[in-house]
Amino acid sequence: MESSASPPATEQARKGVQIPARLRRAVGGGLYQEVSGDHLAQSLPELNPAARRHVDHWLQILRQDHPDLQAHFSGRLGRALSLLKVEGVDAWVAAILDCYDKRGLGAAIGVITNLDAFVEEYRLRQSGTDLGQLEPFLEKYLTGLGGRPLRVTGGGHIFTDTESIYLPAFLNVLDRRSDNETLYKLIAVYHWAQNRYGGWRQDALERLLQLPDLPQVLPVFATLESLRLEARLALDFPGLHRELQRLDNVDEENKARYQAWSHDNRLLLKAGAGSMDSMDRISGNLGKPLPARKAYHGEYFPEMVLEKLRERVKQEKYRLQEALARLGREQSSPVVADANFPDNTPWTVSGVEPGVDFNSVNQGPGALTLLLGDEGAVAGDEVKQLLVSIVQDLGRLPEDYLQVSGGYSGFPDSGKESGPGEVGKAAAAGYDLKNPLYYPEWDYTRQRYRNDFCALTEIDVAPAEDNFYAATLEKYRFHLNSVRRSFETMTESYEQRKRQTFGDEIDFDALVEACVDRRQGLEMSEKLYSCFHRSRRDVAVMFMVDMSGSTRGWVNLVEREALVLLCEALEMLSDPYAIYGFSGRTHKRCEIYRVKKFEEACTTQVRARISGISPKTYTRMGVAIRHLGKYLRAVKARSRLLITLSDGKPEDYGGYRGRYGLEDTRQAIAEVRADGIHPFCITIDNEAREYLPYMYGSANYTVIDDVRKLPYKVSDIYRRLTT
Amino acid sequence: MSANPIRFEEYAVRQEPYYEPAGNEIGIFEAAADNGLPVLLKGPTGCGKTRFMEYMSWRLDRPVITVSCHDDLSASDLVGRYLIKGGQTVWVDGPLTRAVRNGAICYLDEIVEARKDTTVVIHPLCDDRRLLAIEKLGELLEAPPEFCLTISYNPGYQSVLKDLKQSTRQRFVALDFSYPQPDREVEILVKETGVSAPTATMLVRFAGMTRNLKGNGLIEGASTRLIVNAARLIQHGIAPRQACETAVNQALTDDEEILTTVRELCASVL
Repeated sequence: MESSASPPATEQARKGVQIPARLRRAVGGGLYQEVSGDHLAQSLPELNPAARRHVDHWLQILRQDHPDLQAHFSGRLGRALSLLKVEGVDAWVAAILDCYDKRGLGAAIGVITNLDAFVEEYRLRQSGTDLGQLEPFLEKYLTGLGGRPLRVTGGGHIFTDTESIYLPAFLNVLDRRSDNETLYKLIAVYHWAQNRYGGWRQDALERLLQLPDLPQVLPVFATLESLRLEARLALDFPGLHRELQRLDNVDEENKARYQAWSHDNRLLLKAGAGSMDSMDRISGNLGKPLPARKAYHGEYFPEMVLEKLRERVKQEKYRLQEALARLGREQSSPVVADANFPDNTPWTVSGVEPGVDFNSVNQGPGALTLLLGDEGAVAGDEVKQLLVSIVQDLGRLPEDYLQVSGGYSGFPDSGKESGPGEVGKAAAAGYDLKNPLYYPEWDYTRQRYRNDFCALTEIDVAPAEDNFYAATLEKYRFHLNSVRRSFETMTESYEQRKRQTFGDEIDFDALVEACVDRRQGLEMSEKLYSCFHRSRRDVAVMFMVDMSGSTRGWVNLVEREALVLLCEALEMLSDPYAIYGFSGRTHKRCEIYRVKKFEEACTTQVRARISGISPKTYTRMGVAIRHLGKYLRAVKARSRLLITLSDGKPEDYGGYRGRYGLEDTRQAIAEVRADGIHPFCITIDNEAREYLPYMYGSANYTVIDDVRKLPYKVSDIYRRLTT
Repeated sequence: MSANPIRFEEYAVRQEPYYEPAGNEIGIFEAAADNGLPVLLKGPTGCGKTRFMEYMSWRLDRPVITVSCHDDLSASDLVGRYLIKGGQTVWVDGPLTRAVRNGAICYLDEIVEARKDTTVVIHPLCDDRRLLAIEKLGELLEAPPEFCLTISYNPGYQSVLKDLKQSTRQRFVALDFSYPQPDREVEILVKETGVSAPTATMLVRFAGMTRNLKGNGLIEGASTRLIVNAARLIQHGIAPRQACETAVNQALTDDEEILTTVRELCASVL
C-alpha cells in the first residue's frame, strides 16, 4: 500500500538520491499508509551504492519475517542512519530480529520504536563488554581457580546461587573496554570466592535465615563477608588482589569506613576465618554506618542458595557413596566386597579429616588423596571433585559420608525427587531439560546466525536387552567375512624400504653392488640398509544416525544392522569411533542420543543401545552437526570423519524445511569442514542426488539401497582419505 | 645406532639425585628388583618417574640405560643389529641387550609410543624365564639377577589411541605416580632450585590451577618439571611472570584462547 499523496520534493531529492525500484517494491505492503518507497526516498540521506545494498537487504529480511517490522523500521531508517551509520543500523536490525525470534512481534516493534534507547545502548556498547564474548574465558578461568565447577550466565542481578554465577549481559561501568573486561573477571572471582571460601556453608546459611529482620542484617553480613573474602583473596591470589584494589571504585569516605570495619573485625582477616565468624560478628556491627558496596560485590539471595544447597547436599551424599562403592568394586577389594564391614569404612581421604571443620580447601581435587584401606591411593577425580563440593557446602566431611557397605543399593531415583511432569520424567531418563546447550542456527534469508537459537540436550539411548546384535551377526555372517577382509587390508602395515642410509637390516643387494663399485674403484654408495616403514592410520570417525520419525519401519532396522556391521569392522581397525543419534522437535528441543562415545569400548551396553535405537520425531541436522563436530574436534587424529546416516532432507517444525533446512545444514557442514573434519553422508533417499551435492559437495555423499554395501562404502572413504 | 656406543660405565649414576618419596615406592621397587620382577611406572608427564629411576639406580648401585620410545622404535633398536664397518658386518648390541649382559636397569620410557612388535621382545624377559632371544646371533641370553626392566607410560592422554596390551601390562609390578601433594611439591621446588618458599608456594598453586583445566582445554596441567624450570629461571633473575610464560604457559598449549586463561591464572597468583 503506497501513499497516494506525494511528499514535497526535498533538497536531497533535488540532488538526485536514487532509490532503486526494487527497494520501492520491497517497501510496498507495509502496515502504515504513510510509509512508502517515496517517503523513504525523501527521508534517507545520500547513500553510496554499498549502503543502498544494505538498506535493500534490511528491508527484505524484515519484510520476510513480518511486514509490520519492515513498515515500522522504514519509518525510522533515515534517522537511524544519521545516528548510527550503516554498521550501527546493522546491529539494530540484528537486535530487532533477535527480539522477534525470542519474544515476538510486539517486543520487536518495541525495539524499533525505541530507537533512541538502542542508540544510547549501542554507543555504550562501543566501550563496554559483552558477557557472551567473555563467558568461555570466565568459565575456564574459574575452573582453573578450582572448587566446584560454576556456570557463568547472564542475569538481571549479580549474585551466585552456588551453582551458577549470574552476571550482567553487558557491562559498561568503566571508561575503558579492557577495564570492563577485568571488572567482569573480578565480579566472577569474588562470587567464586564466596563459594570457595565457605561463604555459603549450610550451617551459617540456616543461622542467617533464622535471624530476625533479615533485610537489615543481610547488608551487615555481606559487608563482613566482603572483608573476609578480600583478605583471603589477598593471601592466596596477590595478583588478583592488586586488580581488586585498582577497580574497587569507592571514594575516600567509603575507604575510611572500610578501614574502620576492617579494624573492628580484624579476626575476619585471618586465614582461618569462616562465614560462621562473620555470623558471630553481625550483632556487634548492627547500626554502624555501612560502606558502599564495591563494583564487584553483587547481591545476596540466601533463600535461593539454601534451596539449591539442600538439594545438592542430599544428592552428593548419594553420589559419593555410589561412586565409592563402584570404585571399591573396580579395585576388587575383599574389604569392600565383604558385607561384614557395613559401618567400618575402609575409605579415608588425606587432605580432609572427616568430621573436622575445614576452612581452607585451597587446592583443587589434586590436593586430596583417596585411600582404600591400606592399599594406597586410588584414582578417582570424580570422587575428589565431589569431596571438594561437599566440604564447600558443609565446611567438613561428615563421618558417615565415607561409610560404604558392601551391599550399597545405589542412588535413589532422581526423577521421583524432582516431582512429576516432563522435567521429572526426563531427569529420570538422564535427560537434563533444565540445562540444555545452546547453538546458533544459520538463517539464509537474513544471511546471519540466530544466536543461541537451538536448545540441545544429550541423552543416552535406552538399551534394548534383546538378541538383536547377535542375530544380526548371524544373519550377515557370510557377508561379514568379506567386510572383515576388506577392512583387514586397511589395518596398519609395514613396507620394506630398500637402499636406505640407515635401517634395521643390511640390504644385501645394495651391499653387493657397493662392493663391486669399490673393486672397480668407484665410490661406494652409503645406501646399504633396508628398513620397515609403517603406513600409518590415524583416523577417527563419528557416526551421526538419523533417528527421525521417518525412519520408522525397515529404515530403522537397516540403520541398526548397518551399525552392527560397522562396529564389527571398525573394531578391527582400532580407529576411535563414536555413534550418536539425532532428532528433535522445533529448535527448542533438539536431541542427541548417545550410543557410543569415543572413549567407550564396544561393550554389551553399547550393543544394547544400538539395538535400542528407535525413531523419534524430526530431523534438525545443523545443530546436530555443530554439536557432534565439537566432539570430533577434540579427538586427536590426522583424519576426522563425520559420517551421517540419513533417510532424507533436514526437516523440522518451525520453518526448518526446504531451502532453510538445507542452508543451515550446509552452513554447519562448512563450519566443521573449516576445522579439518571431513563430512560425508550416506543416505537411502533416492532423491538425495538433488540436494546432497549442494550440502556436502559432489564427492562427499553416497546413495545406497542395500544395507550390506554400507561397510564397503565406509572402507572406500577411509581409503580415499588415508592413502 | 652408532657402532661406537656409549661406554657402559657412563650409565652409572654416581651422585645421589634429589628425590622426595611420595609413599612406599622405594621399598616396593627394591623388593621387585630383588625378586627379579619388572616394574611399570604409571603417571603423567613430568611427575618424577625418570628422576625416580635415576634415584633407584644410585640406590641400587646399578647403571640405568634409558630408552625414550618413539613410534618408529623397532625391536632391532632395542636388541641390536649388524652394521657395516670397513666392508665387514659388525654386530652391535642394542640398549636392552647391553643392560641384560651387564646386569643393569633398562628403563623404557613411554613404552606405548613404540611399535607394537617391539613390546613383544620384552615379554620373555618379564616372566620367570628372564630370557632375551637374539635371533640374528642365534643366542639366548639369560638375564643375571641384577638385571631389572622398568617401563613407564602415561595412561592419561594415551587411553583412546594407544594402550598397553594386557599381555604386556600383566607381567609388571605397577607403581602409580601422580603429582606430589602441594606441600611436598613446594619442598621439592625449594630444594631443587633454591627458590624462596613463598615463590614456590605460588608456583605450586599456579600449577594446581592449570591441572584443574585438564580436560577443559588442556590435555595435561603443568607438571612438576615445568614449574621447576620456571623456578630455575626465577632464581636466575627472570621476573616470575615472564619465567612462567616461557617455562609453563607456552609449553602447555598453543591455543590462544586457553593460553589467555592460563596467563590470567598465572597473573592471579604472581
